[in-house]
Amino acid sequence: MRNFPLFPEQASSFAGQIDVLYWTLVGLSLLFGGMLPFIILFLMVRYHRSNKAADRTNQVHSNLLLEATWSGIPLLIVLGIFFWGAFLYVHVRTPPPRTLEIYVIGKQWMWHTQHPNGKRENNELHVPIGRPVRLIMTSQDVIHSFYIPAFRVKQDVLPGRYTSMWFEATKAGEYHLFCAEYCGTEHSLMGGRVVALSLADYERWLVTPGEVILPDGSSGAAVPTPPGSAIGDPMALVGEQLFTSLGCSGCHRMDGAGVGPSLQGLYGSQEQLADGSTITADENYLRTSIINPGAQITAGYQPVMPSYAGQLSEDQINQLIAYIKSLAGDGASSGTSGMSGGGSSGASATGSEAAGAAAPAFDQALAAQGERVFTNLGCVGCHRSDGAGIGPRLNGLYNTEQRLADGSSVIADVAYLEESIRNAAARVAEGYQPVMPAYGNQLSDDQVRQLIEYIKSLGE
Amino acid sequence: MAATAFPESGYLHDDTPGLWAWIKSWLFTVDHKRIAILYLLSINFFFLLGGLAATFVRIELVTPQGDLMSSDVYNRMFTLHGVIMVFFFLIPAIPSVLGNFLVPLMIGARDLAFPRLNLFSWYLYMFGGIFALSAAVLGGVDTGWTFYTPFSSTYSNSNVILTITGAFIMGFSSIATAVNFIATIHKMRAPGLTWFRLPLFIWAAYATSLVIVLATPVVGIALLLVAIERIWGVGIFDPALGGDPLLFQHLFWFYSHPAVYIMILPAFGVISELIATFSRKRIFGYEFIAFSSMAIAILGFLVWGHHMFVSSQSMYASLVFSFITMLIAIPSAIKVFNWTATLYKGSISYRTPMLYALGFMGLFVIGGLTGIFLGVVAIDIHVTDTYFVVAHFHYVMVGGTIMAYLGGIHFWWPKMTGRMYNEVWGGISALVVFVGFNMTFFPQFVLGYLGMPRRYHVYPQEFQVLHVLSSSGAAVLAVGFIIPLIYLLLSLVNGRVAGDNPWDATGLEWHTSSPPPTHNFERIPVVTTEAYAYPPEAAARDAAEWRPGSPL
Repeated sequence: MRNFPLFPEQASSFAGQIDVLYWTLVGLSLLFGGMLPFIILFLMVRYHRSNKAADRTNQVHSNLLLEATWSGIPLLIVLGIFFWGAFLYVHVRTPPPRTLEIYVIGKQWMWHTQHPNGKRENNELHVPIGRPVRLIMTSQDVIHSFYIPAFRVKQDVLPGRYTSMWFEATKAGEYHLFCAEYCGTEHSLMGGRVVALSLADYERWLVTPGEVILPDGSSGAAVPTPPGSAIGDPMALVGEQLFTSLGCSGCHRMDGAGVGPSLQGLYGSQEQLADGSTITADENYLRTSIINPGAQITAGYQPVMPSYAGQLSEDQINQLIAYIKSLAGDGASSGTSGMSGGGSSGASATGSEAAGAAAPAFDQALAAQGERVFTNLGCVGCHRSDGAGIGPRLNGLYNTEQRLADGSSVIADVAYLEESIRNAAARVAEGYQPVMPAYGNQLSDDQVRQLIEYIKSLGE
Repeated sequence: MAATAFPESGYLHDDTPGLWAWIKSWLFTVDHKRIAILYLLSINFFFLLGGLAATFVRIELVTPQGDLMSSDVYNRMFTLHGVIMVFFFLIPAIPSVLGNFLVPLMIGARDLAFPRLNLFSWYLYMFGGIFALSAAVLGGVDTGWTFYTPFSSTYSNSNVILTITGAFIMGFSSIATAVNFIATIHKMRAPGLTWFRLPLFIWAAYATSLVIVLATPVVGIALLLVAIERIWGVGIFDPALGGDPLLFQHLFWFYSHPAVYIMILPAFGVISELIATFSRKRIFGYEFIAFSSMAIAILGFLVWGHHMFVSSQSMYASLVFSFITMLIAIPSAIKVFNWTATLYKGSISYRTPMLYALGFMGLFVIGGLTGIFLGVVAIDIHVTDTYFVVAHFHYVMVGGTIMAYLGGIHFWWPKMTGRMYNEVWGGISALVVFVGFNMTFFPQFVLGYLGMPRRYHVYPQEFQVLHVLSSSGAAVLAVGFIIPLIYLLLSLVNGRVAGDNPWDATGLEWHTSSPPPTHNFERIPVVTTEAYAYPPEAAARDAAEWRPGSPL
């Protein structure tokens, strides 16, 4: 019965506290709910109609004192439980001032996470133990919920806004990561594992060469490695580049002389709005101000900023916000101090270790870029390498004969792959549903070529 | 004529010539008792259908892999189960079947205030049911019964519109019934039947009706807005269109939490009747039971946010909702304590309805106590959207509402049909349901605290033992539901003739014949006593008259 746990593992600083409250409630329930059936059983037997000896005279039909007792005592107990639970809840919802911030994007049906140094993961989350971690989460489509039972934490992840939660892992190990809010077809596969590592292991993991995939945004442009520096924080760095390339820096001048307010020291501060109210400039405020700038105008400025709704990926918004937060400069930001942020170089060189001996000829550099596009677009969520995804497995696909849903077959050559990317429904593989979106002109020719080279590189 | 072979008299009797006339006499009836029978048949049909869907879900969950059906089929299956059971069984079950039959009889009226509206409500129910069924037949719907946006409004590729149209229409059926009850209870009580002489079932039906009338329009609006966003792409809930996904949850739970009380309040009413009758004495704390129903009806409107503790609603909102949720536990506890006190110094018999009532008390206590767990935000964060929640609401809905529904059907069966059923099989069915139910749902509390999320088609290996236990319990439970179906139907053919008052009960419905005549009472009764007016020596006399061989 090794595989038959009755109690969940305790692997975060909350787990013990919540379990104590839980078991107290179980105890109280047994006291009340466990006693009551025995009282009922006793009365059932004692006063059964066949028991002629029982005294049935002097019946009582109401008793104010009794009513007050059995209303009052439970009331006092539940109020006690409420306050206990309320203080614990406030603690669980209030992150300490310095946390390690990790960005999470949920989408049907995978989790995508990005660490401050730019390292990305899919359906996994590596965290250090003994350090408070704060997840800043959003969804690209429907509502999801990020749930780590061993940590006793759960938070819905909504499209169009950030939600956050924090925890401090206490025990190294691997734990379940679930999506807890029903999100469609593959809801039950939307999960993976949380790996809690010692701080040293985590830092080593963060900079392990070949695993760091630089954020390159859905524009597909490769991001140059910061020249010869270990400045750290590539998320903020990429954000800064976006800030420049989108032209934000033209108005939001750091000296405050621009058309838009200076963003220096903005994050976490109290912002005076044009309508007279004040607002804390948190992630959601920053996000709203990018997507829908007219909603909350800073006092003293005109509503002239264009909306970026639909023009930026969730990834890019995260990067912009990471950059704006890095301008706060007082440590309220991402708290990467203590994390070595370098080591991002070398990622582009290592390329595709996935290439098997039997793989056809392909361009190493393009395939490596293709792998990033493949990850960033979320292709990896459906085209799983274990064949369990809702899309077909792509390993060994290139130049082999594939059966199609209409009964015909086709050689999976470059033309077929390109068509399947741009217009997936045209020729669907046998046994699969036409559910993949058409990427049409959303991808540049370069990106499609990179993807195809990557698919070529996938040996059996 | 074959159609009138059973039974002999009362409202069921027909002297109509020919089959078509007989069908018309049922389909166009305005007799509340016949409409109750129409509801009984159609609601039980939906119950069996929802049960069938649950069966497939439980079979799939025997193994951790998804082997019986694809994830899409599984999602459609649990959605079908939820939609059918909530909207087409639990909400109308007790009000529309027992309420329709009993409200006029219990208050000494000849019919409900608006008989035609009553018939119309049944047609609305059937019409809504046809929409929901056609959605299922045409490929199903995969949103879960909660229809959370923006999944339901933008992303789902299933028959969302048809299903919510069904639920929307069904809502009007509820409203029609509720309006009818409110008017009837206010205006048509027999002479002398003051508010505090009303049977507690009537108090419960009244409180339920108020909740239905006030809450149902809100879910109607919410579902309508989903349809508008889905059809015309108007941005209401989907942030991609400028909407707010949480708005839907607020609107939905503003109805759907009170809906929980729409399901359980009438059950409380039934249990009060059963406990008093089979203890042969006045119910303990009549006023407290009556007012606790009203307190639940009012507080029930102020706790919807406890479904949204992890939804990103504000911390302060969660604390307030948590606090009120704690308060609403008290009126439920008051009821249970008063029922228990009623047993004291009674003369208790273990007839089938009483066994269901006692089973109800055991299961509802567990359902209610685990509700407190969920009301404590810190614990809810861990267990919400897991099997803990699934187990909790099945303890309340199945352990509460269905136990009371079955208990009520057994109790009033002789009144409705004029026949007694087989008492031995009745006892067996109550026992099998109780055991099967606990086997099915108790393991799910453990599963939930372990972290098993709900609505999962495949799950990690370590949860399998508990899932197998739960599924085998479901098999026992299914048997428990099938047995009454058989012996109740058989009783129509060869059941003993019941007589007007087989249980020696006090309610007005027992003063008329079984089955009652079309106009209920030959003479409108005049009420001079409180409800459950058993004389003080009734219990002692009942025990003294008991002989070995009398019913236990």
